[in-house]
Amino acid sequence: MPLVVGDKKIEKVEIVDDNPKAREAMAWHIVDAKLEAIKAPGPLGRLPAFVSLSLKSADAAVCDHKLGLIGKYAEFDGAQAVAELYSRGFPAVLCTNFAKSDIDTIRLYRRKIPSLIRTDDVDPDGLVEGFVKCVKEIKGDFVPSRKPWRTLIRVEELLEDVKPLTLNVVLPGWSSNERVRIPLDIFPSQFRQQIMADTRFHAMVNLGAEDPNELFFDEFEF
Amino acid sequence: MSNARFRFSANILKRLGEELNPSPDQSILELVKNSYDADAGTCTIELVNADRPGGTLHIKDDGDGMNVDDIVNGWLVLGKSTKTQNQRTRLGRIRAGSKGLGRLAALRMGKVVTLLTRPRKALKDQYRLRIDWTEFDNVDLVDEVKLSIGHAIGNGGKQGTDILIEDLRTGLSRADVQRLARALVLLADPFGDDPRAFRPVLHVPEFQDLEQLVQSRYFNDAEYHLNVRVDKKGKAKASVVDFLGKTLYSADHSELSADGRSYSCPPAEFDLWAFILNKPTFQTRSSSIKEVRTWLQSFGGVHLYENGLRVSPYGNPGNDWLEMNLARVKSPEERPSTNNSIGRVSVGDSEHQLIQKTDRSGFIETDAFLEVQRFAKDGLAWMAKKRMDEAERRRTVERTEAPSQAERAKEVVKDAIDKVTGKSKEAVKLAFDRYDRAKAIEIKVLRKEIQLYRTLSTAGITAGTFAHESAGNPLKVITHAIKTVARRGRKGLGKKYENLIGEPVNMIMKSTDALKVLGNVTMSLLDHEKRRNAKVDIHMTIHQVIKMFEPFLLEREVVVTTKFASGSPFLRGSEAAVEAIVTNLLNNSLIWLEQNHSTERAILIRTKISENIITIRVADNGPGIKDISKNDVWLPGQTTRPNGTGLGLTIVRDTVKDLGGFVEAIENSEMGGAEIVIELPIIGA
Repeated sequence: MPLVVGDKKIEKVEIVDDNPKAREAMAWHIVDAKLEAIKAPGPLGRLPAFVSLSLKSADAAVCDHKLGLIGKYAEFDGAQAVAELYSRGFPAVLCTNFAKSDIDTIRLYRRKIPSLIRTDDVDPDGLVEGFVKCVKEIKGDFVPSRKPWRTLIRVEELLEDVKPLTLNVVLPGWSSNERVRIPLDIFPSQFRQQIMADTRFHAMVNLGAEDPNELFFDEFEF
Repeated sequence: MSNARFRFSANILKRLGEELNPSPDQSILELVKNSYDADAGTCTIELVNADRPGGTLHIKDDGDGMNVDDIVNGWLVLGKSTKTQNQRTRLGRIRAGSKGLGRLAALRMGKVVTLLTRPRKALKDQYRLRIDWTEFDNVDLVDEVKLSIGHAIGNGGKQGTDILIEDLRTGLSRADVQRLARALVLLADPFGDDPRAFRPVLHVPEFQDLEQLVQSRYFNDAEYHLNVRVDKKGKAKASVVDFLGKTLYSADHSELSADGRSYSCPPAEFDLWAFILNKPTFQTRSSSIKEVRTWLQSFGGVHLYENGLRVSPYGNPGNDWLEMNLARVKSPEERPSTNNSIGRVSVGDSEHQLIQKTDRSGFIETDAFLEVQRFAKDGLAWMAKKRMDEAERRRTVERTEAPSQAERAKEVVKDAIDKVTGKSKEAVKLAFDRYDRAKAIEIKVLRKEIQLYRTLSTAGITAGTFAHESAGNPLKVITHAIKTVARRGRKGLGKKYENLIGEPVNMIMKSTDALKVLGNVTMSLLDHEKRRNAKVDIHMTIHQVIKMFEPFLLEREVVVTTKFASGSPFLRGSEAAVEAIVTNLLNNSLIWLEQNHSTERAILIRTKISENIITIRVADNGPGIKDISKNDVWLPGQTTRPNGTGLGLTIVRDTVKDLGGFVEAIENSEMGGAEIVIELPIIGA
């Protein structure tokens, strides 16, 4: 029985994970959600090729983040894939353990990742919820924790020993005493050389997020 | 049919003049560039009471001057791209003047402008034009104000042009004058050696100081000089020479351009002089570090010259158009920054491929400009790589040579002892032999310690990799699978589920969670952010370590109790250091507690603060320190446990020492077992 959200119908869900056993295990959740599981066997090649194939063969996708650990499964990671699919109006959910080392990479694409489920929390209901949230956001219906607001941001420090280069920022409009890590690559290239401690700028940020890892940054103004 | 034409409101002068003017120094610079285009050798700028409204600016050059036609069809025409723009001047200069908008901005700085000019070809003629801008305030259209050019027979004066801007609308601030002085000093490539070069002069004290400073020319004291050139075909080559002029490395195009692409930009040359601003380096130099530092503070950075004239803002303070500082942060070892280097990129742009923005705030980022940037950045990246390779080679050689150097030094001492005469010779010889034996033992211990550290580092790295791998793959699959078993079991078996498989399923889930915690602990210990120096809250760090150990403590039925002093004592150091102390002490206690089979296993952590010292006591009710001296427990490799590394307490000792503290062991505390007492200096509580 397809999942219907407004005029969007989701029947086939593509599972993207470089571990075949994990694809199999994820399929059990999808099937229990009364959806059809399509296990993407790989190699998936580069992102554009993968996206165009997904758009044709499925109605939604669930992606693991690290896709390059086993063989030559994909030349991109899950966060990139979910963000690109979202841009094309295709609902996708990112499932990851959210290791600390992945936070910065995921942050780069977080604006276009409405649904991120921790591996431990994956179940049929959670997946369905994730797809519904994604479809609604694509149509402009944001949940409060994802709604972007224009806010002032101050650079606290550049983390010189972190590669790729990362900085700690403070968002007084969100929490004036908590530092948030963001990778330098999140800024458009023309702004990067202006970034130093005490630089202030504006950006669109989802100030309703409770967890700092959920914050996204977009539309920078210097 | 009626004829019609566009006409311009007098307000347009204000729009184009004042509103396009980025800053007074940039506007005045446009008049100076006009002097350059007129083949002037010098151009003098005088400021009379210019720090306040009503003051005067006087710009005077010895260029080719103008006749009536030049004034009417050139100087007074705004916004026209002259056909002669691509033609070189009499002296072969490529014209730098813009379409007249900058000139307008400068001329409108005052209320009245007077132009006096004597053409080179007719020195007896002198032309005079006076513009009173207030006349434009009282008319609707620009062409309603008639300007007239007066002619006088000169008195044999020299060729050139004088511009007097009177009754300034606003005064030039000290910062404006400093910026102007710096811009003028740098305008015509002061790094070059051409005595015929254009030399603008500003008559203010700041200028003389700066000019003197720029002429100091400390280039010979640079550690190395990078030169990269790109020719008309877009092919580049580079070299790096040291301060003695010896070529260190050189490269051709294929080595510089990562993908072999030609650079689609005008021919250009990039010179960079990089300095190592430390005492040992400057011992062999003719200048002092302070002199060079002051010079670099004023002129450091990479300036961009188009056809011999500098284009702002490239190389201005805060402008890092080649992202040198960013690259240095990413790779600090061998990268120069704008603070310790000076350079120029000279572009010979006879076809005007680079286009300046109308407001003179640099070049439009066309492909040609981006290619100039790419060429220079590739040069910097190539040099950094070469220097990194060399540094690595140097380290390897140092490692290999160190022992033989020690051997040579030993021979020198022995020779010296042989030359000692009299009774003291034997005593000196004996003392040296004793020293030599002690040194040999110390080296042996150190080698053993290093080997242990290496082994444990490898174990740590491998444990981290496995922890990451297990979380990503087997544990993930087990989690998904067992949740599916539970879900489907409940659905399929209904009430029978709990009796049949509920308990084993729960056990698998709990054990999986415990395994995840083990992995997380390993990864948490390897978190690089904890190794950064910052304010470390000692109580909080101890709590975090205990929390991290919770699953082990539960499993082993060990109770950890804390009795902390009030307050939040903190020190400046790395969280990893404090964590290493607490983790190793807990690990040790857990090991000692394995031998406690009778009573409840307990660890007590207490803190006490007195003045600027925190005392941390970690005690347990294990067997205490036995079979080893309490002084030897700190030595590397000393362990009473089979397969123990004997490094845990060594790490504690070394870390406490690094933090400026003191540590001691008590064989049997009031808890019964061993107690480790640590004192650390704190900066607050």
